[in-house]
Amino acid sequence: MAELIRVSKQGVDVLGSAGTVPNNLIFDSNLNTFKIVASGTTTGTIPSGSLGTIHVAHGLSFTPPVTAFVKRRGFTNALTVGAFRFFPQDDYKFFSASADPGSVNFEINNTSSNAGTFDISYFCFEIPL
Amino acid sequence: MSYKIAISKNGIDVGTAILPNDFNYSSDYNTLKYYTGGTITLAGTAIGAFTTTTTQGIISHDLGYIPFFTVYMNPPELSSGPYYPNGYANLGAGANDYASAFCGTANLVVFIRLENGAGGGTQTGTATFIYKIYRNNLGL
Amino acid sequence: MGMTMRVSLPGYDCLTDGTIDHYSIYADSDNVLIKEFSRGTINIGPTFPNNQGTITHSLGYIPLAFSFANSGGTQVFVSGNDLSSSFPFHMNVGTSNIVLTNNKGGTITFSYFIFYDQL
Repeated sequence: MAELIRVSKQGVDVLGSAGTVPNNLIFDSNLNTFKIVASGTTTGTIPSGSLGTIHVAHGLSFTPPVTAFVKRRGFTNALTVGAFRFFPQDDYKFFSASADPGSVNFEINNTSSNAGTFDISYFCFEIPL
Repeated sequence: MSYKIAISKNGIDVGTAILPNDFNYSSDYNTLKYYTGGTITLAGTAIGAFTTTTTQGIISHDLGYIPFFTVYMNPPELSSGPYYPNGYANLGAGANDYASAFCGTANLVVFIRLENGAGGGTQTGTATFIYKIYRNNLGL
Repeated sequence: MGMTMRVSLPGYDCLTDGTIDHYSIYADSDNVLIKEFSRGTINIGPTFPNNQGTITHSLGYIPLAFSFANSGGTQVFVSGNDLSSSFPFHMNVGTSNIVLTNNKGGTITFSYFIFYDQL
């Protein structure tokens, strides 16, 4: 008999049939838990009306899957990749997040009439691509 | 000596495994932990030439920091169909429609934006957003 | 008395640390870990209608899913938007499949990860 560890959500009997449904569980040792192998923050400045890319070394021995969030300095909200904010708010678009063997890269289109400093939080996941 | 919990994948010896991808779980690594989610539907109307209408929906999370979040949205011009992660933009010949989201230390905000061009007319749109908010602090 | 399971990250004391973000498992409340359902790769391109690829998941609900496009050795996160002219890829997710689109031309290899966790 194979052993396993399961932790069910509140109100779900882990020993009952509902406890075998992955969507009812917090954790199941039979299923891969997507792991964050590296994360961090970085900052860059992009001129007004410009598309720019901010880079930072990820320090991994493989090219990782990466996602990220960005917040414009002086504003209070963060965007995910593919999201955007219009004038008169933060006024930029988070075009892309990508990784190559050495760095993670974040492409931001600053559609504002002012230069902007952008703070980025990124997450690299476990699986070599 | 530090301790940890590690569960290797089938066929892999947990005593010798070293790569993250060899484990189903290892306490050496952080994980994405979500704690709340839901669905919200927004509707908007833009009437007349060069008119822009933005409709927002606010979801309180009260974490006190900006958390990792995911938002999927279906297209305002279709009001149905599959969901698009993080942002959606439809740039048409006479009108544009957008759906997206942003998050602060207290609220996740989703929105649709309808833009009419020179032709004017009435543009209506409805989009449903499915969101998940995680415990993971972005540190922003 | 309710039971729980807590596993702290390296460097943190699970008996005293009150910050949930310092744990990889904190089952007191529903801090649910995302659980992988399937993963794979698919080659998509070069032009319409072959610039779209469909992956069937048959979960019956909208799941969390991530996809990454390999563009010349650079792995690009795929969102619902192809805002970037350098990386014009996007995806959508339905209750039975996910659809990936390559608007760059050529043939692009996409990696995908689908999770059990319902949105």
